[in-house]
Amino acid sequence: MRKIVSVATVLSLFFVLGVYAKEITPVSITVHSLQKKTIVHKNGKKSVKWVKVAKVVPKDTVKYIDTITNNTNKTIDNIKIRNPINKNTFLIKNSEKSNMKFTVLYSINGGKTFAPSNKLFIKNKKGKKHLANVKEYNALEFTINKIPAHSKVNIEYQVKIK
Amino acid sequence: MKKAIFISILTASVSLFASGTQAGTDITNSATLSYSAGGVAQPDVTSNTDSFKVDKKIDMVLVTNDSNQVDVTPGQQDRITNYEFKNEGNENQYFKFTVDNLANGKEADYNSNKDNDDVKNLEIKCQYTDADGNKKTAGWANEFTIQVKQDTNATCQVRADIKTDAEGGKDTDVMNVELTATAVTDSSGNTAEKESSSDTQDKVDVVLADGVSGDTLGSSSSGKGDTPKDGKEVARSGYKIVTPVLSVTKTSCVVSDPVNDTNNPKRIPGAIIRYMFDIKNTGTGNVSDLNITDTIDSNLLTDNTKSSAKKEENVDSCNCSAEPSSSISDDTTVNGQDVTIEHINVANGGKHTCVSIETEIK
Repeated sequence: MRKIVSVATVLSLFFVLGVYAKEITPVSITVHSLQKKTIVHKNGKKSVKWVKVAKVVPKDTVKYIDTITNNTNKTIDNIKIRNPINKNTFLIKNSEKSNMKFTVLYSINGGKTFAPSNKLFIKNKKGKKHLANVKEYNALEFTINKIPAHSKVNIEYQVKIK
Repeated sequence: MKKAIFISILTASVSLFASGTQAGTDITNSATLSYSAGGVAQPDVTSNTDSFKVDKKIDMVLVTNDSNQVDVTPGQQDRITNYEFKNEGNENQYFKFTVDNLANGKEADYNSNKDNDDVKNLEIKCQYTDADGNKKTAGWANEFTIQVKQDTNATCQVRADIKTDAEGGKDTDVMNVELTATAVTDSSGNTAEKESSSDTQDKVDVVLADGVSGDTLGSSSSGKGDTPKDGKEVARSGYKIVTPVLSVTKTSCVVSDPVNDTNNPKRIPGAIIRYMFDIKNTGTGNVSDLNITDTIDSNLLTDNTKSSAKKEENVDSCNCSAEPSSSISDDTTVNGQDVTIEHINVANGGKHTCVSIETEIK
């Protein structure tokens, strides 16, 4: 009987530990999107509301929100979050935000390298360089110095559907 | 991992449609996170993939290229008004074209002339690009349904027959017409597209966006009959009855006589007498190809009448002593005392056409 109880205890412990291991990912990131809706009130005034993406057509604005969660007991640092910019969208300039201090870099080569906007140059067919337009960015990278233990950080940016 | 995530971007092509990303296109996004813990770089973490479909945006614009009602006269047939259409949605789309007379009191898109009569036998013709990119022509017909390629224009015409005078053709008649393009679900043209009531992230919804913004045809984006977001665009043009009102004044003056020549000449035998026909048009319609016939008094010779015939069109007044500038001997026939002058034009709005011929007193 005692043997049966100890086996059950051990099994329960494994089960609990297993669930714990599955639920508590040390550091995680999730992405979700919201759609900009302009609401016209009865008095004629307009206000902007962000709703779950549903009816999206060209020229609509979509906001992406990345949530980074540090589930560990320690501060993590040098956090870099990279998002591609879908080919059928383009980044809206200066739409990047976060609840933490951040810097942002951009890529014009599909995320191979990132640089500040004033250092991204594109060569045309004749070899002449021009400063890349925001519509030519195809990835962006947020950098956050630290995320304290057991805390969440949101970053967000907006794109327009081509 | 980083390479794998971004490789799709490197092979991406740029959207070719000015009217936007095609309906049904998936927009996906997956983020990658890198970080350090205790100064040690940790393995990258990849997020979930956020995905939604671009919905079907139904958008089009239809404008008239006319800037005024087309001038017509009672009984004319196949008189044309002109329109331009563009499928500004993000998919090839079926559109049903219909045409009808506007009700009394309704205005065309370009002015405030109110409709007060109808035209007959209205028909439409459109030249457009079909879903396969082929140039096609539909019509003439009172209505038809065509599939117009995304981002392409169509040139349309409406033709109509004008009622005869007995049916009301009068100077103030205005007959406005309305061409309508309605987005429909298929080639039968029986079912109009409707905005999807439910919002779904993973399926293609229908969004009616006509008349909202960004129309790219003409100077005005929507006509007087347009309602935004109804899946329908209308353009209004029309016809206007114009009627010339003519008056003719015939005067004479002596050009020369055998004694005084041109110095204060008198109407004596051998004197040259000029007849001036002063034709004035105070109506709203121009006159073309007017003929004048006249019988010259038998005491006058018409030997040089043909060669002396002259005219001047579109002037403010006629004066017998001032000979018109253009010879019209080729348009003048003299048969005995009967004179016929052809191909005379008289502009509307009170303008004059001066026609002169010369005779000689026997």
